[in-house]
Amino acid sequence: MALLEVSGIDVFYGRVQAVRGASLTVDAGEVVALIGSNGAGKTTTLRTISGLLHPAGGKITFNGKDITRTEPQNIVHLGICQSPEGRRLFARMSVLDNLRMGAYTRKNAVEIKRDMERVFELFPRLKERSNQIAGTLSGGEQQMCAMGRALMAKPKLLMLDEPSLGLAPILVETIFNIVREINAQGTPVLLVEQNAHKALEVAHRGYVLETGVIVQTGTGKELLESEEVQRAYLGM
Amino acid sequence: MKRLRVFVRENSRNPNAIAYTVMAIGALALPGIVQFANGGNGDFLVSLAADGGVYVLLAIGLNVVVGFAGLLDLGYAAFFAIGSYTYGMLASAQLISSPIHHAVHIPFWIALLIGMFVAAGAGALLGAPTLRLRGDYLAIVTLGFGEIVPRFFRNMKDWTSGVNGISALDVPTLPFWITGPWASTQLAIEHNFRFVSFNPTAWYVLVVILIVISVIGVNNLYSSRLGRAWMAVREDETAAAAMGVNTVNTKLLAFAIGASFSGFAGAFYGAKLSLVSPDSFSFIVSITILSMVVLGGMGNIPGAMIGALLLYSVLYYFLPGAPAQATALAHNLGMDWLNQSSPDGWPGIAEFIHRLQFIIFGLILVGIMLLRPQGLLPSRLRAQELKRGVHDESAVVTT
Repeated sequence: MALLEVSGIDVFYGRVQAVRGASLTVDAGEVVALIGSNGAGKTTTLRTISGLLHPAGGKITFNGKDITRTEPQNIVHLGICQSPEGRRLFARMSVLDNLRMGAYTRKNAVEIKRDMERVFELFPRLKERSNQIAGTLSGGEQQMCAMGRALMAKPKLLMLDEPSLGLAPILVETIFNIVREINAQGTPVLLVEQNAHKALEVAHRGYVLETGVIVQTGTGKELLESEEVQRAYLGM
Repeated sequence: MKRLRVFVRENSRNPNAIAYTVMAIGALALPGIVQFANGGNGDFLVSLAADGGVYVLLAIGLNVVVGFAGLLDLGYAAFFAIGSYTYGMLASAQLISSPIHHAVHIPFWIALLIGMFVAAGAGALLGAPTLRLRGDYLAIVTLGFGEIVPRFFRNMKDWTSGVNGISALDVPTLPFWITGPWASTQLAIEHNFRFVSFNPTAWYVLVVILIVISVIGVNNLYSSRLGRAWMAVREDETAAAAMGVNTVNTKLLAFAIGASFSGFAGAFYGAKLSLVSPDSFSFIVSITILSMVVLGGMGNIPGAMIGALLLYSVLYYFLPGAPAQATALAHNLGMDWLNQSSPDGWPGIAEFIHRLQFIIFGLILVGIMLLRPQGLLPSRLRAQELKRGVHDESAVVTT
């Protein structure tokens, strides 16, 4: 059984249907990429998994538990944490406090401290800036802070929404290397990206979302080599 | 000694540490100084300072709601009223004339705690149905609540004596281990375990103690997990929920805990004045407290306290004294004609200044906000933000 199983969810914004019967799975240890153009429903899917939206139809299970109608804070308790689109840092709190907020659901101070060290190892820049307020960080640093914050929850599944959005190419490279690193340390990652090429390079498997429907799926390599994906998303 | 020196060096550049030190020294020295300066007749000033302490308590409480959790509360005086009335009913002969026909005299210290819990309960009660609202909408609802509560007390004639209010409230009594044979009227402690109600120094000491307790409590809250959750909710509610914060409960706690300080303040206020009337809790009180918090530095505890002290002294000491000062000044400058009212409409300088009071007050507010938009003593982070500017996309993306 897969760690996360999304089966046939329909999500509406008012009367507009954003996701139509989408199904996907994430297994332990995997990086799964969800690619698609603007407005395809990628972020909506993530928001639905994390409980900020509830689907009108379909079912989501995590670790065998039905989380279709669970509230966001309880989903965090179950171990799904996301670094949301636009990063959504707590702009007027220090970097350190942002990271502490990531560990909000956890009680064990020793483990939290250890994970803080781990985040600082992954993102040395955050350590240098730990007392600076998050809103004054550069875009790349904000993204690092958002990812670090999500990691502080010690998630069983990490969801990253557009981690490369608006970053300089060199930083994009760094961010994806860190995604690899996080996964290598044992955390499964569900990655939503417009930068399809990068995402599929990192991902074990991928899904292509088009106007709310999953139109194609395969391993990262398969999708990279697929003609439709190349034409539509890779500009080849 | 060495540790003390290290401590001093580490904190000598921390504005908050300086502010606390100055306030502590000022609080200790104030009664002596005003008595000395007025040749032993400074009682009214000590009493005034004790009343000012009530506003400091209120500002500390409102700062939790507005500064920490970012919930704009325009009806904070309602909780103040609830605290005062709770003490009024539980510690006076008032309830004899109520339907229960029995006076209740609960000792001050216990009534203080009851007032605190009742106010906190009222905060939760107001919060429960309204905290799904955000920003301006919440402000309007709290505004309504602030109007309703004093009116409610005014109309509950059987219990609260309506417009007349509750009078002759009990004064605090001290536990026996303080009022031993060493007790004396000089120390404002009588042998019969009572505060001497006309000795303001005792009230002053009491309010300082209450403030110290509140500051310690609220500082611990600030750096606690709950404090961080408040700030996270203030910054971005959705992101806070995504971190596992139960946003509704968190905001409810901000309301309740913020209100509990005004319960504290209300009980003290009622006991000191020995009168609780519905007119003492009007909208202007809520706005004054809010101005104190904003002016002092929203979200920063010593900032809110300094804001409260400053505005209070302007409103209740400098402005009322200004007409007499102006008269004396005109006299000393040999311009006594300024003091005479003339038939062409000049009312005399004292009356003139008196009429201008609120313009002067307004100018002071505007001036401070122009010169220090972040408040007199802003929180360190807020100062950083205003200096460096925040580039934050999430502030633009709203749900």
